[in-house]
Amino acid sequence: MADPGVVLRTAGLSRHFGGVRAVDSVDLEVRAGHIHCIIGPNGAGKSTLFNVISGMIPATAGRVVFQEETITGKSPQAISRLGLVRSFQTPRVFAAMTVLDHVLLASRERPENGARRREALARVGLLERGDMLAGDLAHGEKKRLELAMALAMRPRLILLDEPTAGMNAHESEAIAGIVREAASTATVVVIEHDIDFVRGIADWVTVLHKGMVLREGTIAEIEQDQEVRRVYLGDIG
Amino acid sequence: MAAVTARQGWARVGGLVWNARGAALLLIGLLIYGRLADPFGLFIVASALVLSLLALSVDLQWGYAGILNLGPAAYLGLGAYTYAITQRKITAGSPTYLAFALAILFGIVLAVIVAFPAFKARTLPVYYALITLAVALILQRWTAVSYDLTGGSNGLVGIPLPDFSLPGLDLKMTTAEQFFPLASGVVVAAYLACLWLTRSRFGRLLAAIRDDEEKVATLGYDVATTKLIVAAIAGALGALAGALYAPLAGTAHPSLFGIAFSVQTYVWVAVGGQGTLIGPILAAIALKLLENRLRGVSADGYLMLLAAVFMLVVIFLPKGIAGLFDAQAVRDRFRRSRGGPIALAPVLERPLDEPHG
Repeated sequence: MADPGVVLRTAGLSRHFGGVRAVDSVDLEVRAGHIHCIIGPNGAGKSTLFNVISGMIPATAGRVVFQEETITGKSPQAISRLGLVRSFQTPRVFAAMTVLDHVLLASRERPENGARRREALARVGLLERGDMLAGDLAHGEKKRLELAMALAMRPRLILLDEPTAGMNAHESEAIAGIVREAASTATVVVIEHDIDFVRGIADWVTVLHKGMVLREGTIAEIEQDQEVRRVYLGDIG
Repeated sequence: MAAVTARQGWARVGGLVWNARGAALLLIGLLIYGRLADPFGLFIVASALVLSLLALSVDLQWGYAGILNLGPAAYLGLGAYTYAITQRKITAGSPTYLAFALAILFGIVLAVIVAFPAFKARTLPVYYALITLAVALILQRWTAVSYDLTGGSNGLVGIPLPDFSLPGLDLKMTTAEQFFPLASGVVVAAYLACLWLTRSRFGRLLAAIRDDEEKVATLGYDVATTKLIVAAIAGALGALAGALYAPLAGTAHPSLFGIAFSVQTYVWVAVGGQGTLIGPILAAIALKLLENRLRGVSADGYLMLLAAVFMLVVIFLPKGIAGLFDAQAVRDRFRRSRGGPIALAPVLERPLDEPHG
């Protein structure tokens, strides 16, 4: 019997590239309302895991269940329409389009209504940048814009791939606030390298190593774990 | 409240008129030209106008949705032969409504047949481009050998001018000069329709697909179907160009499917301004008139000049001639030179909740 508190589950999920097992039999359970962080060294398979869950690359084996529905093999647009949305490590915005047009595209609102897109922009602090071209935004603002697009879709689950990559401590703090606020309306799964950031937001942490789940637990448990310290945390400080 | 709504309404009308200024200027220019030009000049510009529909179809695909179709001439030939064969075998001596309708229908069907499997299978753009090129060449070869239906390599001749007669109303064209207002009207209408489409929410979606298909899919949009719609609209436009070209030229021949027409169309779009709609139409007219002038002097000279113009535009004016007059681009250049968004970037790096200054 499936646990009703689990919004996303992967079972034996694998993705191999030739002989490389980028994701190897990953069993993951993400509980509704949680901020679930995925950490691990470079090459641990974190982004590949997101790519498989969001339908951008097919799984070699295993399955993904989102809200009791198996989504393995579904297209990215079908998965997105079910309420599972994602952002990318390098912000992917449309340079020649305005900030407002981005959230308009994501929210599917008619231009004359504006409640959802204004709300989404306000939540990430970009309301006053509405008329700017996305290509003219600073890096941190592009990351916020991606978040705003995700929020404008009113998702049930958001996958965020390194939301603070390339940001200073001050900006990371602001993003942490946005992620915590986003978690009031959706479950959030975050890939992140910045352990201070993870400490500030995570309800639950999964450590990936060589494509496999190494440990799971609260951030306090993870930080105490000798094996995690050896393969990952020891490296970064 | 009512005053605000009325003001918004007027603003929208004003916006539409401003957006359509290109169409208004084009129409005025064509009306003046129609009054002044000699019959041969009218014929040249009418054929440029008709072929500019094909350029519009390429601009819609390439300029707005990033779809590279290397065989747009497939639709030109298909439309021309559909019109010619329908008028000869099915509705000879009758009004040409059916011939136009079938041409447009076949254009859409061909586009869907070619694009559906490619877009659904997420074929790489370069392979799709090669498929479209191959389709055009196959159709060219097929028409050249199907003597009974298409007249083989000689093609079909004596194709009648359009006849839009209705019961009790004689609207049969008898001279090529009468074709000029028809071509002008169709091109202006097609331009306005494309302008509306590209400025709509659908147009915004196309621009996003052109920039990053994968990202658009993660926003929940069906990229393949959206591109298919664009390809179908472009197919209809291209076939309409062919259905108008055949009666104007009086013939339909296999070279209409050929690489020369496809390349010419891309040159017009690049020189006129990719993603501008009006640019390719103006380039078609200007380069067709230039071609007519220079061909008498030296046919090779014209081709060399065309190649030179093409290379210079691609290198120095990536947005084409129309890009020079793009108000937004000019504003951006001005803003940047005055230290606009680019110069502000370091300031904006700071979190927005921190008071500036």
